[in-house]
Amino acid sequence: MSEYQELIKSFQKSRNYVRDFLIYGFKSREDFSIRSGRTYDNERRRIESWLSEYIQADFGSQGKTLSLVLDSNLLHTNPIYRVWKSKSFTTNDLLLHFFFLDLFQEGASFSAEELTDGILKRYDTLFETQLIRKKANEYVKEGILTARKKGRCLLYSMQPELSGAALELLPALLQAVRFCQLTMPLGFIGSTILDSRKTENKTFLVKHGYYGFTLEDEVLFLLLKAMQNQQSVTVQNRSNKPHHTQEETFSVVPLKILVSTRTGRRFLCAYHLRSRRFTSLRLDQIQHVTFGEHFSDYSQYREKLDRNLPSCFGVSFGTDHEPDRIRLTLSIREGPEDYILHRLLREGRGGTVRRTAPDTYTYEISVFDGNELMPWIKTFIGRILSFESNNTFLRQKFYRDIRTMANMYQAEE
Amino acid sequence: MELFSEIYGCYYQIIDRILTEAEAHPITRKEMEQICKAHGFLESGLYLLPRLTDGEWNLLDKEDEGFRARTGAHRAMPFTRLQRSWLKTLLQDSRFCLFFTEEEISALRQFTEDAELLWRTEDFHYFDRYADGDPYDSPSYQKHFRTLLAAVTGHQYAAISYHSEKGNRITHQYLPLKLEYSEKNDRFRLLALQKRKTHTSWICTLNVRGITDVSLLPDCFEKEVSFESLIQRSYYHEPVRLLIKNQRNALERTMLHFSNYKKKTKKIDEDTWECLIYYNSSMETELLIEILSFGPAVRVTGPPSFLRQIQARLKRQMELFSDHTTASPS
Repeated sequence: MSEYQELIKSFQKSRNYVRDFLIYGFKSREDFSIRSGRTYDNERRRIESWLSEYIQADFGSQGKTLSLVLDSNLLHTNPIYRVWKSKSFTTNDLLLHFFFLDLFQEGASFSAEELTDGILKRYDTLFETQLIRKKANEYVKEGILTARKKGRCLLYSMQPELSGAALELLPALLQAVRFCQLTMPLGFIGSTILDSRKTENKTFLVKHGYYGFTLEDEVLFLLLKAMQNQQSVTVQNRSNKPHHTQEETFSVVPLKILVSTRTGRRFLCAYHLRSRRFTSLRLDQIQHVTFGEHFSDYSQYREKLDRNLPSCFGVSFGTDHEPDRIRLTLSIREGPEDYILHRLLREGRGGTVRRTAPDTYTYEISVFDGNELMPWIKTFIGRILSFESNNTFLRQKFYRDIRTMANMYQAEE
Repeated sequence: MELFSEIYGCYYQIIDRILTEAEAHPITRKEMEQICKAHGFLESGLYLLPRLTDGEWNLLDKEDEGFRARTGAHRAMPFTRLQRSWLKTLLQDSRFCLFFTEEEISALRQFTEDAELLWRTEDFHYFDRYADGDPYDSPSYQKHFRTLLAAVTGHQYAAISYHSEKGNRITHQYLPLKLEYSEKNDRFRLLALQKRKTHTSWICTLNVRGITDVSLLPDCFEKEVSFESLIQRSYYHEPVRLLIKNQRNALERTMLHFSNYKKKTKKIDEDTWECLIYYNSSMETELLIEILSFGPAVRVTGPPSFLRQIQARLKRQMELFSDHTTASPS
């Protein structure tokens, strides 16, 4: 049996566990039936170790349950970034990293052979030249070292530190990074900049911060790369239904990332090659991304998508039926309740707002999938005079839901 | 370029700190333990310290007073290609540019010249972001933002003139504490304490775009303000109690939706869960309408004051339906 370690080789394995702890926070050992009990114990111990400050254990009829308790009003960084900082390494990786940082002072350059000799002489540690060359080439790829030819010899140097004007902007740069590591895509990268400068954020907070979604960043990173290269991809998708898991594989052309600021959910909006339709896939359900071929009509489909997006209220392109036309009429007292009118204007995503009578405003929109409006429309409960749609199903569902709620809260007339 | 790489890992950070100390002076095992505790995972010290101190890693030499680094003065890791690419990509964003002068932006462009863009602005579409975000390109907004930033980082009082959304104009002295950004509103807010004789103990929230003038005052507040306790104190004693029936995938939807709140969830029976959400007065209306958006899949059971607000809205809704002749088809 191998020794337990805090660090891991592959991110994917822990991703779903962390997500379940973060999102659900009530699952016990028995609920994680997908893997063995020992796997669960190790994963749980790791998550407790990585995120100890944020873990809460409860004991109930289900046994011990662990949950992550995060309060976005108080977080100066995303605690889940710690999961990204758990990659395992070999002793050679570690030693060469710090020997390189020590040997490559400003302006110094060495061949792999010179590095081998220097490390032996200075640290009394013998490495094979081949191994040193491999690590140096790896660091060239990461942009830590640069390589240049001198005759038949390859000389390595370290990337220069910030100097001149760039050095002067470091305080402002770190301040910007403190903000962006919390708010921008792939913010984890920003947190590594703060780590290497041994500083942290105490200035910025985020309202409506959804932290669990950094678990999808590797998928996002690959999809963005495919988008820059205008490539198709094959994605392995797993929908996390409570009672069954559905795995599917799609060949798609990634076109855009759609983001909900209300839920933190992110979606890949892509052209599905087989069905020849635009489709949206949740990033947290994508398990694996494989790069495909260059897609020559990329710009054309991207433009087509841009023409279609104004008809999406959210991420759905609907089915084949005609667009859903929705008309919502609200009672808004002019003056004291103007803030409701402002809500309609700023949250209405292109819908039109008209004053149809004193203290009465009508919002109208035509979209591919009217069902996506329903949660938003329910936020106006208490002011809705009428809800009209060409989609009978939506209309009936709306009034049925309101009646069920009135019944549930004993608020019927 | 890899995201999941040991060079960004927690253990490398710890060893970096230990070596930096041990290059300057001999470091004791206890000091190393403290570094592990402050910057590592829960069990990091158990793994790292034996390997560092028994010579397995050949990075430290034992001396009488502790351990000294074999490295002389190792450099900070330079910005990697991935980090430079991220910074270059952010240069497209007007929020990132708020922090810099024109000259600094030029220097940063030069610094990231050889890096590749990770994405283009138009690759992302924030489909439910409010349409009236802050005017990041406005020179007066930028000036106010930078002055507030200086006040927050310097713990310095500031005189602020403010035009609220309700149309009130006020001028007060504040101790700026934090700058809060809302993803949904695309807006910065200043969280501050109003200065009276000393300062108030509740947090005021000012929209940065509503600020018409701000100037730094000579006084600083030297003591540490416990922002966390101010926030904790602002929470209502009783959380909102939700019962969630797992219909229309409501459990997953609610858990994701409310994951930005401090919450606790437990299973009540086979398809019912109870979720407690902690909140304060500034979150109350938003939380209420968010809960309403889930319709009958989520039921509020308390606290009474919150429940009454839900009931009042539904009662009013049913009255509107019965008054409005065209509504409510069977």
